[in-house]
Amino acid sequence: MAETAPRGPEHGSTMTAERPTVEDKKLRVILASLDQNVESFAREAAHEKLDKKNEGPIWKRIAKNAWNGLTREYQLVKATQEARKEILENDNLLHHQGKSDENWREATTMRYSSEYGEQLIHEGETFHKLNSPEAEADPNAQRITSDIQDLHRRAARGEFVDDASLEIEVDRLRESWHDAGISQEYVGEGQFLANNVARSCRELEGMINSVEGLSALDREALAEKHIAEMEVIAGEARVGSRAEMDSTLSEKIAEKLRNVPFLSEDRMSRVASILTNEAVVAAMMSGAIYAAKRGASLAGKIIAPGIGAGVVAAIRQRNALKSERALESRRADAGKEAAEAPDVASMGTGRKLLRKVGLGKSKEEYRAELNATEYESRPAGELLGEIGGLYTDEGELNIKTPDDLQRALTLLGQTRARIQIGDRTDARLINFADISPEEMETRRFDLDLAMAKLEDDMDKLMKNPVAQAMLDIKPDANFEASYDEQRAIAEGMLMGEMQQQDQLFNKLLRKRAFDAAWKGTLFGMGLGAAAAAWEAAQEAYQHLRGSISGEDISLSSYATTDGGGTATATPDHLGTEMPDHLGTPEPDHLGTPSGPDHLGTQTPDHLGTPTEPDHLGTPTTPVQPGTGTPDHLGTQMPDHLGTPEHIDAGDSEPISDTSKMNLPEGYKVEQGGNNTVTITGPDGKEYSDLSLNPDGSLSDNALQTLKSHGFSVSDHQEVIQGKPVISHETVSPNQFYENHKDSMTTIHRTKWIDGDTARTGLHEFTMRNHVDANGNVIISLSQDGSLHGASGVNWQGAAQQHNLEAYVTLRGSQLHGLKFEFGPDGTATIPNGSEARALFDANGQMKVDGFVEAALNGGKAPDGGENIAVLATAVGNGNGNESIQDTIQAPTLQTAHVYTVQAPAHTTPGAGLTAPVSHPSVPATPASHTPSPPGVSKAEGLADAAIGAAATLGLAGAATGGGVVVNRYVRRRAAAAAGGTGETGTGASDNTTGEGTPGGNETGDDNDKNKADTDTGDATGGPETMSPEDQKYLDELDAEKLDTVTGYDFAEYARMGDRERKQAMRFINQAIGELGPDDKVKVVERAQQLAQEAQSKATSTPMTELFKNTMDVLQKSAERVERDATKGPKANKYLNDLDSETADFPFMSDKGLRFNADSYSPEVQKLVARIYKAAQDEAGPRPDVNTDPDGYNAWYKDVFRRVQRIAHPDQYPDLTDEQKDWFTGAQQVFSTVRSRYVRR
Amino acid sequence: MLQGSEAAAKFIDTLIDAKLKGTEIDSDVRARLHGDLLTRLEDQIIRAILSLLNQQQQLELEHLVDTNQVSKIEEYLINQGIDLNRVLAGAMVEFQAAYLGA
Repeated sequence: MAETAPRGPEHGSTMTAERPTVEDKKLRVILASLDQNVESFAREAAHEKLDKKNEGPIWKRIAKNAWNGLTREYQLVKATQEARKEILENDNLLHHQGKSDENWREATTMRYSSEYGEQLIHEGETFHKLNSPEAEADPNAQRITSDIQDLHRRAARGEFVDDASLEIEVDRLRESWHDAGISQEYVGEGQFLANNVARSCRELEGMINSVEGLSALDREALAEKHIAEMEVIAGEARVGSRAEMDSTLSEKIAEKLRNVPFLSEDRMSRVASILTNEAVVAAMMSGAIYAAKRGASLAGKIIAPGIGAGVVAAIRQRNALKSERALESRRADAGKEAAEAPDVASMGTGRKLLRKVGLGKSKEEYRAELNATEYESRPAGELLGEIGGLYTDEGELNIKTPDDLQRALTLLGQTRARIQIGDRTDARLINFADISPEEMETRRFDLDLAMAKLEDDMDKLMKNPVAQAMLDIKPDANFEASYDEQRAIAEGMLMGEMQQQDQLFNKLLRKRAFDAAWKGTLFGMGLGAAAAAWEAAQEAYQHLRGSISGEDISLSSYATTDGGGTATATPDHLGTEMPDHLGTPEPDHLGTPSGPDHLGTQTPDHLGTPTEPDHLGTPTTPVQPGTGTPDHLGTQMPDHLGTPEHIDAGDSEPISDTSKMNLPEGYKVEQGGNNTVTITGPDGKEYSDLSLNPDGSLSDNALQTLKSHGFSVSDHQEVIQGKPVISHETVSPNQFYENHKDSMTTIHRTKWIDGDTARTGLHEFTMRNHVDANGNVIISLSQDGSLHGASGVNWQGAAQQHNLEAYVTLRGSQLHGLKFEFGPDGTATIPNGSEARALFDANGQMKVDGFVEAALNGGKAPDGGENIAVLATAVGNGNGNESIQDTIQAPTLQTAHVYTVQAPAHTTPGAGLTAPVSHPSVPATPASHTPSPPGVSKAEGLADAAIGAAATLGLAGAATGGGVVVNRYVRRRAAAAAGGTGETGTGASDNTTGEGTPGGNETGDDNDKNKADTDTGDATGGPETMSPEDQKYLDELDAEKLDTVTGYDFAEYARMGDRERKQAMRFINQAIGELGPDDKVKVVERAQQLAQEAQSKATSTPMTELFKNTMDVLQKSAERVERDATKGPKANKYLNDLDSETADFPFMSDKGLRFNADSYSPEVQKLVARIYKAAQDEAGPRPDVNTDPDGYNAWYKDVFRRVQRIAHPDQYPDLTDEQKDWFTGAQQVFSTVRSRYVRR
Repeated sequence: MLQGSEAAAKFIDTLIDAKLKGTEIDSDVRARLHGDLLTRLEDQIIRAILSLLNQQQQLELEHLVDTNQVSKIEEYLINQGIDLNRVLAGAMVEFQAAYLGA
């Protein structure tokens, strides 16, 4: 064993000059208040609430609108108050959008902490350096600075085990500043405080820990040095565009999909090849870009960066609302003059008056108003010019000074941000107004090309040692990171500007709505006025419908413009055109809540209005469970998944726990013994002993029996929740948390009423635990002494309203806890057998290092967690090293079946049920050879030409699937043109859309199809027949009872299919038979080997898939046993092996790893290298930074997440103190590297 | 997602060649341009697909990715009624149109 590097003052004395990038870095703490945004968001939410569409007969709507036009201001004030309250209660600016404002906070912190933070301040924002000479004279600034500095001192001493604890402290500080009235000048109320305190504390820890061998005194001195130099910046910020900043669910999944090759190369090749055919492209263009072309016919030219992106990105746009604004952008790009405001001053008094109430404005004026709300965009030519300006006449990059370098990076960042936001949102941030429409595509390409060249040249420049010296490029700086930083800053700024323009736009809309309300009022006075209102109201309708709609309208509009329609498209309930059958305006813009709502914004009685009698009101649409923002995001098992009872199958009858059956009239089905069902026909004829598979689905034999009697059966499948798999394990507190975090509630402690704080000074609440006769832990909350009510807490009332709860948390993960409700009697029960019960001893006392807190529930937090005010806290008895006998319920997924049975035609003519649900196991119905029907439209004719071309190439399937406009008609024609069996690679598409033409040729072969065939999909080119042996093997596997072998089973298994799990067990049992049960690592390796061999010998797709998926299961198992094997004595062996290793792995240069590890002992360095390598191996191949920069960044984040787990000494319980120190050292290295180099 | 696809790479190459019209550019610059366009095409395709899925379907799709069942994604999308060829071709045509003015 090598000696640990000596420690002591001689090493501590090296803490200054040699590490400039660590020690010269100045900490910058940001406290940016977002309070001033609350009002605007509340107002906007109120407007959206009031702008909801009215329904009902036209005369009722007119009456309501006229009234609401008059009372709108009152209602608006009231609704704004309500919205403000809800925003504050939920600590989330985006509460009414059902989203979290976390990204905005992050972007604000980044912007303020930028080196150029002060220059990035927008109008209405403040920026104070609390260390500046002026601020230092202010006692309030001093107090804030002093508190922040003290927090950093405590962090440097290691008082905070995690960021959550730090954040709790920041919350306490924020409250104390507010209570003391000292925050107003710098951070307003401080209710919404974007800050980087936790990150800054971690950076300080890293800075200190990066210097090895410091004595306690030296560490303190070093900490004081950094703290003294630390900048504290406070201010009030405005935040960016609400629509675009959020990472939506789609964004999250898109990010994941980018990293997986889910489209087959064969499909890509086929599609790409047909795109070489101009006729095909023309046919597709007629559909895919139809909407855009239609816009272009007005505007002259399409401008969207990806034309279809406008359609697709509409998912997150209030599309109809913005269409006119976009049209104005297109007009500009098309070289049409922007409308100008008229000269109002020269108008007569009467006309001015009319204009006041929204009458008498021309369309040009409306356009001029819209123009003022456009996003700021930069001409592509101008950007190209600036890029060109960075080069000499000879084409050499002309960067001579650090300022030049910064300018180039800024330009790159800004341009890339504009391109990316444009791609993502269809916002027009780069325009082509300075060139002719015909040159637009060329100019777009020129810009991309110039960007690519500049990026390449900058990358090379920053790697050049000479340039590094001349341009003060730090050794650890690299182009990608610098570029990314500039892009992020630019994106934040652009989003902020876009939000300001959006606010202007919304203001304009409200103004128009108000104008229209006046017109509605006039209508109430006379039909003549109403007629005059029509045109303007129509226009306002077009805007407002978009403004009040959410994402659905976009989805539906995609389906509409796409021309295809899919099984999942949302009905276009909002429509896109003004309904012309009414002949009157659709006055939804007049803004009236259509019925009582949760805000309780009722028209006040004292106003004496008859406008809201029930019979006029629109029926309130009940809120459907599960239609709100899902709270299950991020959990392993989506809550929305149905259970077998929830399978929507109309009038179907259950045949098992997982399956139901739709039968023709007169037929019935009964469950029999031995896992069979019997169908009885209207004539009494029985079809008995139809066997079921173990999973409750119809067996292949049963399907074949039905088929042989002339029935046709289709199978609609859904993924549902299955019964949970329960297992028991002995785990550490950390592992317990990992096992149960999905069922834990995220907690935000907004107040402590139990603490010894200056505000309360009370300890009136106490908790006592005991165990009842059933083994349940009973927690009793009581109030001591005579302090009843002194804190102002009516806990009994809270309990009656179900707002008093107990939270069980573990130290180190206090932000997440298991929740139990207190009853009105002040007791909460932790049931015997529940997951939390394992944390309590026989006397009901918490036996692990954790907490039980009694708290008032303050409502939902932005992240879906709970805001709580703590009344009492009991601390557990453990020290963090306890073993917990854990009960794990792993969720499972099952497939539910709904069979639709059609009777033999000769038995009950026409007695078939509703159109059979398509199912991939039913082969494509051969396409009809019917020639083109008469009356083929122009588009269809064009599609015909395309299909003909594709058919000539033998690509019927491709042509069929490829045409966007080519829907049912085209598919039919394509199949016919190709000679039409429809059995091409895309045949399955026809299947799933249920578009097969009649006359299907259901041969006897279909009966041979089995469930496994279903799994092959169209990727395999069609149905496949298995050998009887394979089928028998799968049948036996299905019939086999799922068993587990101790030590190999774990939660992940439950997410795999039953077959795969059973197969994995078979291999493991076989391996145990060969090798014995002792060495689980070897057993799993052998099982993996067996699976590999089996896969190589498999002759059918289902079998290949089975063994392939089994290998996935076994891989999980291998990870599990490997993890177990590295615990205990083997861990020491693992560490002893370090002696024979060298730390000089190539990746040690990654992200400053070597630099940060250099000052540690050789063992620590080797351990760092080993852990880092293990994390890299786990994370898989690193994406190429040039082709996948986002993936590259995500990969690093993933690696450092894994590092944190692997480097945790708790994973290795038998470590010596010295070995623990190695791990601690490794953690410090990683902590420093992570805080400095890996962006959150 | 398209990083390993020869067909996609060829598609982008065709597009670049059509724009360059024989003009030679540095291979590193071309590689970077190619990577950028490929990423953007990829993004467009993914967004087109996701726009056709409701939230539940998106979560199920995420489940497939998270559980490393990538090979089942195509089949899953088809079973949801999505004509992948059509979506794919639509996105590619649109992308092509943006650069070539089709």
